Amino acid sequence: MRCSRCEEKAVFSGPALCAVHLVEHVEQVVRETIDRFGLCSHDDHICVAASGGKDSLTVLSILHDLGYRVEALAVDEGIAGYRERTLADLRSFCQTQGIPLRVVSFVAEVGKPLDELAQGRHPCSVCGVFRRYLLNAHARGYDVVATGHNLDDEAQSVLMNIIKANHGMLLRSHVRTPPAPGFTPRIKPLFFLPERMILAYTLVKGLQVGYVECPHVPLALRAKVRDELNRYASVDQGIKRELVEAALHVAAARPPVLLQVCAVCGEPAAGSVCRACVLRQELVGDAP
Amino acid sequence: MRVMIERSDEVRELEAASVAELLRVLGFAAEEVLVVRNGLLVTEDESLSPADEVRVLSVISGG
Repeated sequence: MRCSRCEEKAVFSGPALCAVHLVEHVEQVVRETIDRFGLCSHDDHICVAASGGKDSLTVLSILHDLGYRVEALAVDEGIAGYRERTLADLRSFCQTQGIPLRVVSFVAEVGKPLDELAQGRHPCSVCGVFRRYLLNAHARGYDVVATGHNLDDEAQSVLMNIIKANHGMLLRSHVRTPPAPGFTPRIKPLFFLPERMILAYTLVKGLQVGYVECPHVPLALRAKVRDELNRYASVDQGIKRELVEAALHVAAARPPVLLQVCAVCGEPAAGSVCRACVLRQELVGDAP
Repeated sequence: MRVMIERSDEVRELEAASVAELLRVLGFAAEEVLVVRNGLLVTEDESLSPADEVRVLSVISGG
């Protein structure tokens, strides 16, 4: 297979791209996404929510190369055999690139690692609540928080919210979250890039990304949705893009979710007390 | 040929004439993996020979 833009051999299919044009394409899509949705400017102080996996390293690498002022913030949930490996990749990358890195942990901030917190509960729901809480709390003062969410993540979320009949989040997709008091806007520069293309980009660019899957992933609905979506996408490559474009279209016409202020910790909350404080009271027996 | 399958962390001896055939044998959808032959990323139409060293990389990672 030849590259669709030159005579070189393709290293990626769908679209067919050689190594040079794959890198060019990925970086072009990121630049176009930033421009189309006004994600950030060169004056912004950007916090990149980084795990050390391929997506967050790609966001860090591209924004850094484009001259944006980035710092990395990682959350160590305390998942044995998993997070320490991705954090090692992240530390190495940030050190090489001269990017400041801060690591906050469940142990220090919540009182226990996820492996102990989640006893008897679905670990993903506990993890997600505290991760979002810590990310927002520690991203205060930055202009935006950039995350590594890619096209696959977003298409999966659209389907998951339909399956769970999650009315509030149904077809609510954002490349940049709307402004809300106490909430640093989230931006998703990789929103339109397929996960497979991002992995190819990291290989071609020589970014050190080891394969590590969270041990809790097989328990999650997301894994089942992901596998089904990939089977559909093997015969209809446009399906993920169509799903997220539909969600963006609907989200633009819906009023933003109105957040309250948590009566316990003062962070943004969907109700009078935020989910993190409710969970913390139940799992650890105290609140911040 | 020697095939290293990253997701299950196993090495298998398999025969397949092309990358596409190898993925069919292993039961992977093309969307789920990338294939590296002798150190270079290759597309599904590429042919394979018994002397090749192949790595099947999982697209899925993280949590």
